[in-house]
Amino acid sequence: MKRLLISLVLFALMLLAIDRALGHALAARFRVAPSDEADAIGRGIAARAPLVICGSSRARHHYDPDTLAARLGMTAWNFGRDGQFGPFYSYGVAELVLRSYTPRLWIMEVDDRTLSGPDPLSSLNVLLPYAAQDPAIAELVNRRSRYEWLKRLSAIYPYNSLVLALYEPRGGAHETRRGYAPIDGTIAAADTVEDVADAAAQPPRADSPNLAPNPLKRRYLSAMIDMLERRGVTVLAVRSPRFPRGPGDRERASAEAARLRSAFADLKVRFLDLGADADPELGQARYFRDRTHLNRAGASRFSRLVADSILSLGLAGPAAPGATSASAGGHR
Amino acid sequence: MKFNSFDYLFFFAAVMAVFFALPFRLRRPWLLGASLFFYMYWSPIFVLLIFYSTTIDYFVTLRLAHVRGVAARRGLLTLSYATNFGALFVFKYYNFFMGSWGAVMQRLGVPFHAPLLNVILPVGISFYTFEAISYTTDVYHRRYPAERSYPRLLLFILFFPKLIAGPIERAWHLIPQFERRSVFEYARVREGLAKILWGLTKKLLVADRLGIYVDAIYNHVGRHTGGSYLVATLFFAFQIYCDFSAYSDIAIGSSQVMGFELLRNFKRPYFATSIGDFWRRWHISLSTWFRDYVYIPLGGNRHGFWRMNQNLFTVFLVSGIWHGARWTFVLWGLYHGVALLIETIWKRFVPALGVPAALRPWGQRVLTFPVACLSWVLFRANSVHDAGAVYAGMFRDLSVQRFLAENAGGNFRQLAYGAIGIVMVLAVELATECGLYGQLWRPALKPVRWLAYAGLATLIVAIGVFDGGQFIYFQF
Repeated sequence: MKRLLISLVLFALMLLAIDRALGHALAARFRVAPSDEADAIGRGIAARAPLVICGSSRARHHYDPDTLAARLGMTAWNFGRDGQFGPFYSYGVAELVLRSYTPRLWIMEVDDRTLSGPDPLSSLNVLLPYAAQDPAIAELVNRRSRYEWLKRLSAIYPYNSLVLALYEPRGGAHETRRGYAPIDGTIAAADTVEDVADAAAQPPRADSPNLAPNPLKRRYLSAMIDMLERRGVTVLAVRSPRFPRGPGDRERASAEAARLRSAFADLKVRFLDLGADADPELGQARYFRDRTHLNRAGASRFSRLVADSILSLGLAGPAAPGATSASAGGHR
Repeated sequence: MKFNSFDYLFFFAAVMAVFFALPFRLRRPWLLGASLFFYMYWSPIFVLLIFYSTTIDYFVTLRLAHVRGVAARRGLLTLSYATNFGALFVFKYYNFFMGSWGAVMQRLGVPFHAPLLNVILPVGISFYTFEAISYTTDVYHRRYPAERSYPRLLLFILFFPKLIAGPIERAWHLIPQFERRSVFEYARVREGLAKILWGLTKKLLVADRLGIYVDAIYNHVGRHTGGSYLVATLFFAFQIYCDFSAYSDIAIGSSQVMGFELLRNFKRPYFATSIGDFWRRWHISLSTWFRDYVYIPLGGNRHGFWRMNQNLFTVFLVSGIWHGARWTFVLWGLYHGVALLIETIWKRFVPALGVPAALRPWGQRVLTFPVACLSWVLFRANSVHDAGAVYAGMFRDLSVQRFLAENAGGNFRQLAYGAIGIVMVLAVELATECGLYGQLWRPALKPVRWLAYAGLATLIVAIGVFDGGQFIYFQF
């Protein structure tokens, strides 16, 4: 038994040495790799854009910072990330952004999943490399699993599954511009028709588990909004369009918009419903890549719509003095 | 409790430490308590089912030890079968058969509402039921004496390393080991721990990684090119192998650490030289179970060539149904039955080709692998319709450009990770097949061995899938 214990201790020490060395190398590579999987948040923060967009893949593929900047006269950065449906990732990004500077306007792409339904939190692995910098992010990622704190003792673990992406010769999977990832192609004809027999085409049921309020999501969303507003950041919740296949989709879309309007009214956050009805032209198939994502042309048109809405709300104008200046370490 | 979890790691460390610290007479109760905790960790209520069937089997076999009349003995055996298969039928097959019957009636225009049960499948029921059946059958045939100690019989059924997904143990093999005084042996414990590490590597680094790509393709059948179906099917072949053999490795390794030897379950199945050989290497504890308790009682090969083939076909049909209550599994069993039938007819009636003897095994391997691989379509597909669509789609639209375009970005990384895992597993298996595995344990190679362990552990942390799910055979 003694021999085994000694072997195990020596083995643990060897593992620790390899872990620290490799973890250090991966951390260094993470900061400089051109991949879209690498330090996307850090690159966004370094740009210090006064307009920030955050949310899921719908944020990532729908909001073109160049179009917004041209219309609004302020630079923008898109922090959208695939699979980030709840507010947790946005909360993490807000934590990290506010440690470096104070943006003027924060656009949250929202849908029912922002506040309702289950969320396995597994997609929060994108925040793992930042957890060591910020206790609030560490607390958030520790919610991924019971033993997350134990896994995080490893220096390699934050870069789990990133090895190939970090050493890819080119910039990664997607063309990205200030975080925005345009997608090409048009929705398949079969996906444009509403199948009335399909359960997904039925009116939403109020007792659906996906519509069940999620108190943890609500808590993190409120905390994020408080954090941003305390620093004088204007928060705007926006619902972007989905492809309307027929009356069922339209009914679902308006019900979702009503739920979100009510929820964000409670949170005292301005809500913009820019679904397909906001611009009938945008409801056409040629603007969609699939049922939930706009293609490049759709994103461009949608971004102009967002910019015009912001201007009409009077949320953009001359920058407030010092609003985009560095305030690292500033209190909230 | 999942083997690929920290819960199991802590549980096993505690069980092992206390096991070796306890005097021999307390070890069996400790293992029984630990096994109960292991099973009840998932759902406490279903342990009652194990108590129920084991209690009946205990008294049935005690009676079998004394009763001599053929009719009475058969009655007792029937009682045991009814108890074990009855529970298996109710929890696993009732809804399937009623649903299928309902569908047939509907097609015939007969109004029929199948009364379905709202039950979930107790974990490991297919495995421990087969162990119980083998025990009572062996006692019935006087191949093994009736177990007089109820806790010992219960421990045979509940022994935690093999409880959820095998290997399917036999009483004659495992129960006598509970009476053996196991001492702490460094070499044995080290080898057991190495098996656990290799099992975790196969599960976290290979199976769950391959599963990401396989799920992306098989859960959206009808939207992919032939290349993606082919690659996904190849990946699934290795996913299911690495997943299931990983479970067996961890089970065997965990037992080995405590001084117990479980039955071997895999012997490099993708190096099989025929479908018959494949089944001598794949899920060996199940294949031998079917051989001993279905094939041989049906007559085996004792009644001529055609009757033997009929018996083999029956075995594979039952084997398919054993795997799951779905038509895809039934078809999977039939597929292997037909393949074996063709193989035996070929061997009997077609003269051997003039291939040099040295090349023959490799030629046979190259022919056998795709046959085994294609069967996995039925195993993985979510429905018979999906399986048909995959078979129809996998040899169409095989343009490399379209395949690359379809798998650009994240999918391509999954392909690369998957390929790394497959190459690693195949390299180890090839070395073992060529007899090089034993060399690894030479004292001179100790540093290489420890570096390999550290390398595997580091790879798990760097590219292992930590959010992967349960073992695939957990559902059976």
